Amino acid sequence: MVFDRLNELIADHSLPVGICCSLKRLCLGYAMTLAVGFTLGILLGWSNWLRESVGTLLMGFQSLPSVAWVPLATIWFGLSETAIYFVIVMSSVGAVAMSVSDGIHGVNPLYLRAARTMGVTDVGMVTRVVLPAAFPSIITGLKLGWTFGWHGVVAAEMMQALPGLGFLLHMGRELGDMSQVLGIMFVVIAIGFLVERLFFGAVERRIRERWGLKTK
Amino acid sequence: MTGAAAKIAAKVSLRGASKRFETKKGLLEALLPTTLDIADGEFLVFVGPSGCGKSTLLNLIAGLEEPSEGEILVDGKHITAPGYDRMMLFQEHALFPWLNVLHNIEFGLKRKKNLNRAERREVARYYLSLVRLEKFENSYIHELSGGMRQRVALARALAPNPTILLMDEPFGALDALTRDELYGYLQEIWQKTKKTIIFVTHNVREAACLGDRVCVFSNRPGKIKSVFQIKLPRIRYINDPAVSAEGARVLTELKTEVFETQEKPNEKAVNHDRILSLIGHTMGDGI
Repeated sequence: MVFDRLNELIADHSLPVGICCSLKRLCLGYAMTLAVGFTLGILLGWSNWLRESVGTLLMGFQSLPSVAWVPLATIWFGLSETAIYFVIVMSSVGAVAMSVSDGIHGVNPLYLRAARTMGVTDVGMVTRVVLPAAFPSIITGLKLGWTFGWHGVVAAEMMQALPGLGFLLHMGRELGDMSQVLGIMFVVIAIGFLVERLFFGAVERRIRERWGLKTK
Repeated sequence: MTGAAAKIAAKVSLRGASKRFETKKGLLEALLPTTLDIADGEFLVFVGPSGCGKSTLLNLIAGLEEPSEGEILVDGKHITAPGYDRMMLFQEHALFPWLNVLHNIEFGLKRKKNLNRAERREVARYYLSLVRLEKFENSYIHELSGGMRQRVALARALAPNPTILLMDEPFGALDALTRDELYGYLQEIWQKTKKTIIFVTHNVREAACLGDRVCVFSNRPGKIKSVFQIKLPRIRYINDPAVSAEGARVLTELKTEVFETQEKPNEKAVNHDRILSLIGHTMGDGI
């Protein structure tokens, strides 16, 4: 029954469209999260007092589930794409920033000393030494951020009238159509699983190859 | 190979260089004003008890820190920062785990703008073969043993062709057999490349085996107490009785320094019998 309903949704294009819209929003939103998260993370990683003040705040942020951002987004941005992007970024930026900051803070100072004796510039130090050294920690946060972002997209879309997986889920509820509800839930899970396995899984495997079993 | 008296201008010149650190407990004097001339192509060893400032002095020569007083000249010029001409090797290999062996060696070469990619690779491969690890160019660091890692670290330090190599207890974490092997490698490479090497260790035999001159440091605050000339032929082996004899000379000097200035425990205050009665004589004493 569920599969029949899914087939119908594919036939009338609402499922493919929904998947594309949700993924597109997530990708764009995630890109924004990376930009903000990395900048914030690098600042926090370098400055001890910043990390202790703002960092603790950010940790608090992470205890807020993605759904909880939706009401604020709706009040500020109404029923719009912006509101959805807001929810995505706010749910995932904490994880990314924290992992970048912890990763940078945890880099073995011996690497920095060795690099200095090889005449690495300040910028070079960050790009060639600090970030690669912090990468195993960072990837954990990137994965977490993606997951929270995915939660955020679906949650935000449920409150909007814009096409997307969340909208289809919401419609399923409105119409009392359990097959649709279950079907969309399955799709959401499947996409999350695939991305994690294919993309993040591959990255993590590469890290294990290079670093040995000491991956964080 | 001594050459200390033959050369006129010193390669490295320390003129009253000292180092003080500010700690929570106040000013810590790590190194007292030190004056020393190091000749080009010399193998100089610093020996001393832990915390005597020998590693601090190495950091000053490397340019990783600035002296609190005095100056350090290399080729007659003041040094202010780390540079290509002085490469450093550490006790922990400090190789980068996210790069394979060849890329690690190439790392220091990126700054040499006159080399293109293929040339960098060639240079890296040459130094890798010098330490006899050509077969491992694509391996990652975690796949290598401790001795191999230090050999790669040596190749990485040699690749930018520094004139001075600074080695901070590089063999300290290795087992005796590997160390023996590496003493041979190091002397071979030194003879081939004619670099000036400044080597820090707390192992007197190692010092006698490797050094042309051995400087013995005093306890903290550190300064050079005495300098020994080791006039044995190269290549020296650690088990050679002549090396042991020289090592014994150095050790005598070091021992008087360590024991004279150490605080002796207050014998009267420690009542061994009472302690034993508290904890029991063996593990099975009814506790």
